[in-house]
Amino acid sequence: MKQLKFLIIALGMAFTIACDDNESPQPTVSENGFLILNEGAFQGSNASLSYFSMSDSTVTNDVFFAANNRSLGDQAQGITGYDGNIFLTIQNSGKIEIINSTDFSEISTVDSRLTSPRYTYAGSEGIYVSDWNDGYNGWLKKVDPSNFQVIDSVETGSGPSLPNAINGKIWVPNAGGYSTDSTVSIFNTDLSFDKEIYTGINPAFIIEDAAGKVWVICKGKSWPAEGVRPSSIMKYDRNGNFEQEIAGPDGGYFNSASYNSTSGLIYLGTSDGIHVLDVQTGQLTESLIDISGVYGMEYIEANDWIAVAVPVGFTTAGEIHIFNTDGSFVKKETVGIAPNGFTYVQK
Amino acid sequence: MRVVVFIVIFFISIPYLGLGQTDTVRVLDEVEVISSPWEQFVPSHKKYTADSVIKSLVPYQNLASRLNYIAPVNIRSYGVTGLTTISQRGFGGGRTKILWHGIDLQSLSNGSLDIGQIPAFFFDNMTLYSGGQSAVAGSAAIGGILNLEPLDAKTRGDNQSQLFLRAASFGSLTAGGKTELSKGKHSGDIKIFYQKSDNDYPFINTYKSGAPKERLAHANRESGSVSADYSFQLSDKIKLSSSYWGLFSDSQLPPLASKTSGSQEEQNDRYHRGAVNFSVKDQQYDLRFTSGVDLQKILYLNNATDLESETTSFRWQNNLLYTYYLDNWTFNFTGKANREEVTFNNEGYPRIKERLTGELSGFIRYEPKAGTIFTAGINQSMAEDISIPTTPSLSVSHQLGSVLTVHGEFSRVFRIPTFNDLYWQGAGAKGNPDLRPESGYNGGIGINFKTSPAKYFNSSLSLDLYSTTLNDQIVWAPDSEGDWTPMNLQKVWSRGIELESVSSIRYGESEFLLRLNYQMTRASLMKDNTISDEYTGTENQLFYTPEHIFGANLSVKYRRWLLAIFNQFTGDQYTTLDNNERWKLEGWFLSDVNLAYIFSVGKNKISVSGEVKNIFDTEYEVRRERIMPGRNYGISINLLLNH
Repeated sequence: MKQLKFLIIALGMAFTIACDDNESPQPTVSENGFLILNEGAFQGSNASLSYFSMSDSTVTNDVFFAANNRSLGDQAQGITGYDGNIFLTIQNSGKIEIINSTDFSEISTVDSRLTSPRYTYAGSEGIYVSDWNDGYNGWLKKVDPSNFQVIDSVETGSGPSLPNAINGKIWVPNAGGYSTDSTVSIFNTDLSFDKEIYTGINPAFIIEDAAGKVWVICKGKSWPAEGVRPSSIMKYDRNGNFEQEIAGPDGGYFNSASYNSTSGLIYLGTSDGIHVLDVQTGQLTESLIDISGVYGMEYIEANDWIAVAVPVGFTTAGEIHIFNTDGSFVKKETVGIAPNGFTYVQK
Repeated sequence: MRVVVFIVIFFISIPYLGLGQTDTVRVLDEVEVISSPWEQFVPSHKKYTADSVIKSLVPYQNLASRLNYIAPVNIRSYGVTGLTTISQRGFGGGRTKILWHGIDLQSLSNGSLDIGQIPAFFFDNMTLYSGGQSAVAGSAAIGGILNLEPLDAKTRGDNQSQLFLRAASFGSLTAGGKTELSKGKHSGDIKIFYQKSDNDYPFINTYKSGAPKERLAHANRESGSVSADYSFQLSDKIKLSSSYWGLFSDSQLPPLASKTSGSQEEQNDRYHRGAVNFSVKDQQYDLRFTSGVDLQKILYLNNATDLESETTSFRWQNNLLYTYYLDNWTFNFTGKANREEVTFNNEGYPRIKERLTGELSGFIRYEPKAGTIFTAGINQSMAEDISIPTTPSLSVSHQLGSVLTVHGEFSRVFRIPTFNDLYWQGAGAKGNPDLRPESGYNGGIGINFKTSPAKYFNSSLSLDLYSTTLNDQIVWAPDSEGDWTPMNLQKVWSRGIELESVSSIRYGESEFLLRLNYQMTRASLMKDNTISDEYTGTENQLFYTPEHIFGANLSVKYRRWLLAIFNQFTGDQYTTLDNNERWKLEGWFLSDVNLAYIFSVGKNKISVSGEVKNIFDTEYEVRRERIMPGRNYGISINLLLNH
């Protein structure tokens, strides 16, 4: 009996392992700043949201969890803000988290009629979500802003990327997904089909400049070896009429784009640096900033900064690197796993 | 550290408590196993096998659960119906070799074998060898070797059949049976198994707003398996045998916990395996030829998107082993020739890749006196377009007195890239045909202590220390365009301790059996060019690798009653290489209790049992957002017929 008692006590001791509670930091929203979306590792369910405060130039990580006491989900892809709301598109969780831009508390979750949502556009035209479906085709879905329910959908090309509203219509770049595409699908706001325009390989970003010209940034395709096609930039008018094609950098495949309306420059990210397109001249500067591992980038107008997301692998904390627009380095901060996007927020 | 010190002291003290040997609580007759020929060249390896209590009480288990009961092994899983693999000594599922009749069973495409689908009672004689030994077992024998060896059981005088039926929580129904027959020169067995489970268990979903209580949806699994073995003793020396093993498993894949809209993903697996053996046993030599095939079809379906992806792999493996005995020496020569083919059909059209592989190896075993064994071996494996290092091994085992044995070993280990690693295309990922094999070194020392066989008390204790390095570990990471591709990125160093103690005591009409095991694994990423240097080195622990795993089984037999408690503790697991506490999986302790009443009817035995699994209703996740079942119940009836 003593042996049995000893065993029970011993087993009890063996399984008593002290655990520290992991208190998450509380969000510290100041007057303005920007949010950093951290994609997380696929199937790792460790997507998160970080906040960079411009008042003290510090980063607070995991602010979604701190505000809502739950994790963001798996594979966060899209972040955009509109009308005090932040829309976080979580692809492998099949949902869009809508949070308040001031304290990051939840407003609603769009979680029905979504399969593999990639990016959300929110603006005066409405809320539109690109959905990869199986990665070989795609959908554009319309969300009712009054109740945040998906109310309509229409088929697009392969791997629809970030939609944009141009001239009262919704332009959807079909970035190829798991295959290849070279079109932009254009819809009316009620999702009736307007037209399809042809672009370079795998169009991913659409930017309208101050002069009303539309720039379609095409990623290109690096594999398979027999199918390599370079990146490119296509220029159209607001009705989708082709005007100009500009070749991308040799061996560079665009993964991010952001527009500086003050200087009329489009910043373009590839995995090894930031390039600049002057929309007036159509000149592409090959490397404003040399930095490897670029995975996302955004021009931050409030401070005239370029914020660059660098995952540093998908298994550890990532980094953001901040530069002035002349390419000079400002600072580096550690954020969540695999940062990929930014959005400016103002309290 | 307190835990480690305590467990070490605890284990060391066990033999002196005066407890006894493993198999005194016998319900089923034991089948004596003749080792595979190569097993005599790994005398230093720690072995884990199932005892008769486990075999008789829980025949309906799958292989993953069985391993959890018998060894301090980390079972990695993508949830209740997801891919489930062994992670031994810190290395992933594709780095523990799994053999059936000496035929590799791991998928050619992804290197894994889903042990959550395999009925354990098909392989009651299985052995898990802890530690790497690529010289003996070839590619992927890095963390260990799981040998599923059903055929070489010694022919029993009596024939025996077993039937069992189990009903359990969450719509689970399991039925199985086997019969083993022997007459004259003929012997064989047939085994059949069926299982269906809804897996619609309740859980608190902390990944959703308000942490609602939900039931797991879309998690049904239906699986079945059948096998048949036949052996014909042609003469005193020559034996012919053949085996077939088929399996189907249709699984719904439940959604991540954060996903509200449900899942329509499914996976349907079909396996067919066959082997024929020709063996000659003479006083001076053994000769054994095995030719086996393994056909695996894995179909992934997503009805929400109409996506279908099918991977078919076919392996034809031929092994020739010749062993020559000369006084205290044993010499072995082994040759293997394989054809491997994988058909990818994930983009609407089939893409076939194939290769030839082979192995040549030689071993010497020298036994200068009883209890002292030296072995040395060398292996040269070959694969088309892949340069594989020559792989040596050395080991020694020496008995000191009547109760203590010391042993040590050193060997090279390696793993060649899988077909997915080399040739995959699709879904944002691509293979890399320029990959090199992973390779490294494994070393270990250990002691075995075993009390002299006694009527009332028996006890054994083993302690093993090990160290394994692996260079060029293949890891999938994004390339410059963001597509995932495998690369030879990492250098890993894993080292640790394994302890096992098995003790029994007979007191009056009561028999106690206590089985304890423990593994401490420190697995470090020593180099990875894709991450910051601050996250490499000996301080951090590899992700999904618990530092501590502990098992404690206690059974008590009193007259016709048998009570068994199976406990397993799996320590905290980091899920990121920077060991961020935020993403850590909390460790879990599971305790299963089983009570059986056993009675005889003539020569036959019947047991009726009830069990409570996860009796403390522990909430745990095997991966983030993969929430596992809480307390659940089962009843079963088990018939053992001697005829």
